[in-house]
Amino acid sequence: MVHYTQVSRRSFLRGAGIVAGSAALAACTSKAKQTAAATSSATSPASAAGSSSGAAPSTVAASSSGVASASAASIKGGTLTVMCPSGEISSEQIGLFTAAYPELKLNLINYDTTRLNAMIAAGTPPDLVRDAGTDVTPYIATRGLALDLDPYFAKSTVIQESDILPINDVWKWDGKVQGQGPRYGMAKDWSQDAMWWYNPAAWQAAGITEPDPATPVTYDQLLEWAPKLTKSSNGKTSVYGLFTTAPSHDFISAMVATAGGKILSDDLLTADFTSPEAQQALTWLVNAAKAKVGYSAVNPSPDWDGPEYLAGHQVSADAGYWFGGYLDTNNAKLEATTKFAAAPLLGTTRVSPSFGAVGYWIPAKAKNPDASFAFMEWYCGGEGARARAAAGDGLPALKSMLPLLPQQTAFQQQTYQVQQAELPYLKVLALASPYALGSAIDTAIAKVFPSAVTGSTTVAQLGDKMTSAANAVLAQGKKAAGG
Amino acid sequence: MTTPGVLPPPADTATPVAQQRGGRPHVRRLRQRPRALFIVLLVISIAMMLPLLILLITSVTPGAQLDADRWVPAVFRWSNYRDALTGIPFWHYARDSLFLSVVYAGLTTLSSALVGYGFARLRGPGKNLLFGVLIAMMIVPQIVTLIPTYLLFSRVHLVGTYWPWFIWGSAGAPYAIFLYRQFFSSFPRELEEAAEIDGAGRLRTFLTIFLPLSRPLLVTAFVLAFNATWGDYIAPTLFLNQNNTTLAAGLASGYFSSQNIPEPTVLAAGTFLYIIPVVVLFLLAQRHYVRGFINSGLK
Amino acid sequence: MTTAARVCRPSTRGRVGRKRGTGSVAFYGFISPWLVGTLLLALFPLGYALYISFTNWDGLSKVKPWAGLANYREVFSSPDTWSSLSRTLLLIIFVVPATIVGSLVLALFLNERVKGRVVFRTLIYIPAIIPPVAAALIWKNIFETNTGSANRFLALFGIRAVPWLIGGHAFYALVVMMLWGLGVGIIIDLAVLQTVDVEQLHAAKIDGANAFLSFRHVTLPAISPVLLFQTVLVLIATLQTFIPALLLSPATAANATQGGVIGLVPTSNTFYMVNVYAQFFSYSRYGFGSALIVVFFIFILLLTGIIFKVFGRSVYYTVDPTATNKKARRR
Repeated sequence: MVHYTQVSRRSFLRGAGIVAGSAALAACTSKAKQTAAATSSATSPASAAGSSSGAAPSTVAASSSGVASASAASIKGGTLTVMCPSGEISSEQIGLFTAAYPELKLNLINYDTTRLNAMIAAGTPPDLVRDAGTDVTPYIATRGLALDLDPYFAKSTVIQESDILPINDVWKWDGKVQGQGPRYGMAKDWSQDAMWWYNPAAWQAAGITEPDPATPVTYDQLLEWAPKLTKSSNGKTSVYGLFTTAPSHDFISAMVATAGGKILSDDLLTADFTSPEAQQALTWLVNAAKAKVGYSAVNPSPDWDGPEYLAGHQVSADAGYWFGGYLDTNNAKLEATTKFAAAPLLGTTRVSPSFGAVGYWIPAKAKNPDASFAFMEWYCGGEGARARAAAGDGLPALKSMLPLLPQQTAFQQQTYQVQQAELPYLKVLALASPYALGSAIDTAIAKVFPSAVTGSTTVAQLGDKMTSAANAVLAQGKKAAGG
Repeated sequence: MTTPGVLPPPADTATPVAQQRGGRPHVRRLRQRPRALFIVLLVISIAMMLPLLILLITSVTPGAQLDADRWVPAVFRWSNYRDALTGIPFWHYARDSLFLSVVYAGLTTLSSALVGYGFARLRGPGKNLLFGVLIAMMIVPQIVTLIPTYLLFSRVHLVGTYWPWFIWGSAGAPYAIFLYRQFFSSFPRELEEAAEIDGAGRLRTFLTIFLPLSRPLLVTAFVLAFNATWGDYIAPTLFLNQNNTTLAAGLASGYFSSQNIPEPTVLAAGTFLYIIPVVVLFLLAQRHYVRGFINSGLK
Repeated sequence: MTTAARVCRPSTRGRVGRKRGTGSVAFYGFISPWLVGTLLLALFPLGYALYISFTNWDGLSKVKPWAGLANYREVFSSPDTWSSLSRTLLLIIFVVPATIVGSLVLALFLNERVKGRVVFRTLIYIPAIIPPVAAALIWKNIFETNTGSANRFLALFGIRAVPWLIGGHAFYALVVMMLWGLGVGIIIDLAVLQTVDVEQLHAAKIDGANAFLSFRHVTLPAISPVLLFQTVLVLIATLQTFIPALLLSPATAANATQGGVIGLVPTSNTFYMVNVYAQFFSYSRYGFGSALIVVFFIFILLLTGIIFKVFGRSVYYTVDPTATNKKARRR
């Protein structure tokens, strides 16, 4: 099922308390946010670019609250079981929702794949499941697990079709191509997750020229800088110069995309890690792990980039726009010494994908789909989304909310600018297959990775092994789907 | 040959025979043995307790000083314990864990005694086969039966409740059943016959005669079952919700500061609190616990 | 009249009156809770697992494509199966003899009349009852690369910090954690040492036997049934090791039940059941995972059977343990 352990991102809400599950979720094989979307039309980047800059502040504010009560009238009351990482939805938000929909109660259960599997298999699934659209849509749609939401979107008075940003297309699947077909879910927010954040003071202290946020650096440059920024003695490292790296297929796909390559085949049935671009990416990953300049598959992080950056154990973090909101919530003081930068390049093509479009989907067997959708539209496109957008917890799913993004402080202005500049390079990559979940592929390829770091396998051999491991998983998935 | 004039002490299996004799050629070596043994046991005991000591030290270390190069922190942050109690719904989880553990242990102790008695003293067709099944059940890993069991329970809408534990408890625990069976086997037939003659039914015989005799074993079975539930975290993760799960599952999620940074020192404090009941229970029940094993007819 | 008095009455009283038989009804009545519970909660799930093992079910789809024996063939042909099995066997070699022998030796020590032995017994036994979650957290703390006591200790000797929880080292960290509880058998061992016939020990002494010989010829045979049983139990438990491996991995226990985290368990700690778990929850291969379980279960049954057959003969019984009504104490 949705073994999506790598959270695409966690939007930490203002004043959120314990985020146990979320942080735990982040400590996973691949990068905390990397799951790429499947192939999509070339129209998305263009329209995304167009829409973001031309977003007109609408009267969404006024209409949404009024609308909420209108649709509330037709919904059956009851309890909605929402599966999401614990702490992600704050009690504030719960209060706001139940105020808007008094006949509904929210029961939050911690995101747990085992539990989710079992619930679905037992026929009593949660009413909403939080997941990364880029990762799970083909899988859940193909297996008939997710509800086709087009009829609900059509009826919705909170969300206008024209207002939905194209990134939400990753939640579409037509049986063959991700990005087309009916909608199975919606993003609650999104970011371009290959971007990164860094602490310029560390560069100054090490006597290296700071990167220019507007110009994408190359991965090689990152690796060059990392040893100079890393502090270690006698086997113990106190500061890492590079963010957490991991051989996850989406991160690798993102890297090779900047070199014009791809990992998953067009029919989403096979993967290829042997192409020259893939080899380049793998070489970089192996070297990064060998150099011990950051957490990696052979040196797992105790949590994820966020807390490590906050604690000063890392001088950079690999995250999208939402990280700004995270910093704001958890340690606003660090904003003075943090800058947001464009996604790095492996090759020469500037591509900045999104690994998540994290949002919600509704299981096909949900007992009260109208109520489920009411929550979805409220949280992802209604009042629930507004506060998060204003806090900078990721880019909103709706065009009309883009102006809500914070631009008061110098930090917020810097991040907003960089984000704006990055939008034209948004590209939805082919990363999700209906035959296997990203996490399954990642587990398989992560197994063969350590031997390359120790040197007993060459990068070429690694490419072969990863290819056959990934293909085995995909083939098994095809068999399980009855193929 | 004993030394004339010295009566051999009463049969004491704890002391080696040679020592009892007090034979001259070995006197000095034997008297040194307890001392050497004492030192050996002391060293081993300290080694065994060391990790717990480290846990304790970590639990009072201020978070920031965790990587200082010191064995003991400069300042003791006892407030870690307060944070441990407030960082997660500690009392809530503890109360739930206690309830589940006690109920499960109580149910299983009695049920296992019942079943163990059946296997020990009664006859029926297929008994040996069933006993074989019992032994085989000791081999099955919990996780194997867990998922299908979940499917079963969710069909009858019992997930999120404590019913699975009530039912598991009522079914008895294979290891405990085995111990009881061994124990009850060792009694002479006359015990039942006498009760029969007085007109007692099977159940009454069991309840009034055999069960009370097995008191130490009751303690042993209870403690084992209590520990099993207190320490189990996969079943609560699967079957329970955030608001009624156990301490094992709750602790496992860890503690995080308001900045969402993991707090291993507070976690150490929480862990220390978590193990206290188990240790206390053992200390209190030690005598009976040990006797329970002795009495289960270790032959 | 007290029970004892009744028991001591001469049996010439005879069995007058209707004899209440040890009827089957009573038997089944008494074991019914276990029977029902086991049927529902153990046999049905196992049967279900058996059924699933013949399919390629992914754990949630409606469709369960039939796979016949394909999964079983794969169980035997997959390198993962064998490597995880060999790692498990390696773990057994490190843990089982040490636990059995260690418990016995400690019990022998504690059996002597040493000052404070009850205290020692308690201190040595306590680690064995520490819950797994707590033990894992304790040892993760100790073996933490940057802040753990283990590396701080090594630093005293100028030794570089070892990444205990990563790669090949993780296996040894796990072994240490498991051996911390090696006192688990001392309670039983002590109990059974108490039952060794004092007169025989005495006789051995008279015959000039020293401590070793008397142990070998008197004590060991007397305690061998229990030792055998203990060995089998510890062996079976160790074969199934997976929760400690999971908990010790850099993943926190919280996400231990989430599939992808299996990737964080170092390869050297990927034991048979860890692999099974990965098949279920990382790769969604419920069918294959079930087949692995069925094969493993049969393997353990056979192994147990063989052990009892082979060693059962050399074990000394005073009483046939399968008899239920004979008096246990025979002199």
